[in-house]
Amino acid sequence: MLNSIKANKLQFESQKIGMMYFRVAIILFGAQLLMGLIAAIQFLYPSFLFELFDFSVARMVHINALVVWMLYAMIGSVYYMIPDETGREVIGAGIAKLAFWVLTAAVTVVVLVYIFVQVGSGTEMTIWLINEGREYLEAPRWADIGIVVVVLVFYFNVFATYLKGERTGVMTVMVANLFALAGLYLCGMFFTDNISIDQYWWWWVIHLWVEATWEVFVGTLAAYALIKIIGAKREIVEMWLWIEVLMLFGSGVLGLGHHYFWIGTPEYWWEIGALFSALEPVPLVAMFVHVLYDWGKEQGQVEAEGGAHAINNGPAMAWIVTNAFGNFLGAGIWGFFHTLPQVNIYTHGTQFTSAHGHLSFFGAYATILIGMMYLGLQGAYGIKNMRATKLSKWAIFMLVFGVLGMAVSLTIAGYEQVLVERAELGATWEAFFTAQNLIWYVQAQGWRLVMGVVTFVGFALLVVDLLTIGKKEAGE
Amino acid sequence: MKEVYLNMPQLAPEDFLPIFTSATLVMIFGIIFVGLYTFAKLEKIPSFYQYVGYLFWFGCAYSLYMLSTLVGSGDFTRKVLMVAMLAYLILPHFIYFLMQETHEQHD
Repeated sequence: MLNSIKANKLQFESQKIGMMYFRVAIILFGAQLLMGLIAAIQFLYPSFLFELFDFSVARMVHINALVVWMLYAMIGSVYYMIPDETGREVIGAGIAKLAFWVLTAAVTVVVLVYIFVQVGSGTEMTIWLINEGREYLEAPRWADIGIVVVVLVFYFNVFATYLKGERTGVMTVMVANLFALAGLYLCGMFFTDNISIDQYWWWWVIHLWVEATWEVFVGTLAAYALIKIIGAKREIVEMWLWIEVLMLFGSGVLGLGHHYFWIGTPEYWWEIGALFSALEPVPLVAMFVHVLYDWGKEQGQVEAEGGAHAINNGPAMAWIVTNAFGNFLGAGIWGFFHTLPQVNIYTHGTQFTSAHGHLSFFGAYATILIGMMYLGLQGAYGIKNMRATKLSKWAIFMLVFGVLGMAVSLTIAGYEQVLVERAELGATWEAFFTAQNLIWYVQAQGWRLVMGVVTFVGFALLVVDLLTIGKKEAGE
Repeated sequence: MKEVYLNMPQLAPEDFLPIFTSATLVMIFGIIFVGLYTFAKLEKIPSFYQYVGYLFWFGCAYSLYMLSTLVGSGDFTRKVLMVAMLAYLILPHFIYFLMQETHEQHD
């Protein structure tokens, strides 16, 4: 991946910028996993790094690094696909590079402040310089504003290039969706005195990102990747994409209601949240069928013409198929477990939520973004047919096994919490600590740590593969 | 201060396992149904698997009914859910129809 800087066969600056974003994304992915391991150890040994690097800090960096690496990889993916979709170079390559370096410098400063300064005195200055204190979006206000500026530059580039170039269906969805994705960030940038109202708007960012705009983003990337990897017919893929957009927004927007069950919002959100959340897995089924259908059709056609297989990028396709399964499993099954208010009142805030979060972020987003990185490498080395190496296969196996293992362990811990802490002991403060010390909970957390290590090993293999596969395959 | 309470049925601890199991089965049966339907239509598996798929749809609908009963849903909600399951039965047929039409136009 690093060698791709020297051996760059990419013709467009836009795609080179995409690769720059991918490189930072993978570093932040590593930081995310490292912080996760520290937090997992602290679940078992609370004194580990106590008052030096507390659980609250490790967890915050873990989640923020996750969000940021995914946003990096998303921006990288868009820059990478722009020339293929619009048929032209990005309008402002120079300003895009400047924005990349500004964003990367800002993210570095924010992470260093998180790690070394950690918390402030709780004054207005803390919000501006250290930490906004708003879960998942902790970036201090200066960085918040900086992010908006960088995203405006990015959006200008995408939109202006789209207007001047070819306007494919895939790119139209991407441009419209990015507008919503970027705009929603503003909902997390202001405070209100009423915590219910504050949370109400904050969920617009969190939910309408991960269960609406990010999912549409994934659908768009999958559409692009299927055209690129298996030569799927654009008309078919774009028709699917529109159906998916309809279903994803149709269920996902009001699915927001499942976050409004217990934050002081009116009770009618119970019905709205239950109904639309229950519908949310349907588009995930459609996306799953979409990948299988297109793959099956194209493969059948290639075989009928005497060819062996339709796929021209093995590792990218493997990650995209994993995405189709993972999205359904993590977001669909693990989400449906606890989306009804009658059940959610017991599961809310337990390790069930954590299990769902781990599997769905990995299954729905990490997988396809890693697939896009392999696509980028294929382009950077000018490889016609990129096959999976042993390392690619081990990396995907270890990562999937590790994350699935973590999700199962956390589900067991969550189930114990639901039964003991919530149903039997009544969700009191004492009940919380009783549940934390029960054998099932402790053992499940132990297994989560083991599986976290497996995940980290998988990540290390992935990095080695990304660094070497291009040269190896180009050589052959 | 006004007392705050939730008008929601309490779940018995022994019901949690059947609840989580039936929720999982709704999803698993649901995806097997559309998976078998898709593969049968693509002629990757024998066409009779399409009918096996309908059995999984039935399993899916039954699991959803079980789930709604276990969580104490009202009669109206249960009826709405069953109507939704009928829509789910039609969905893959509709999508396949759209795909075929688009393919034919394209070819």
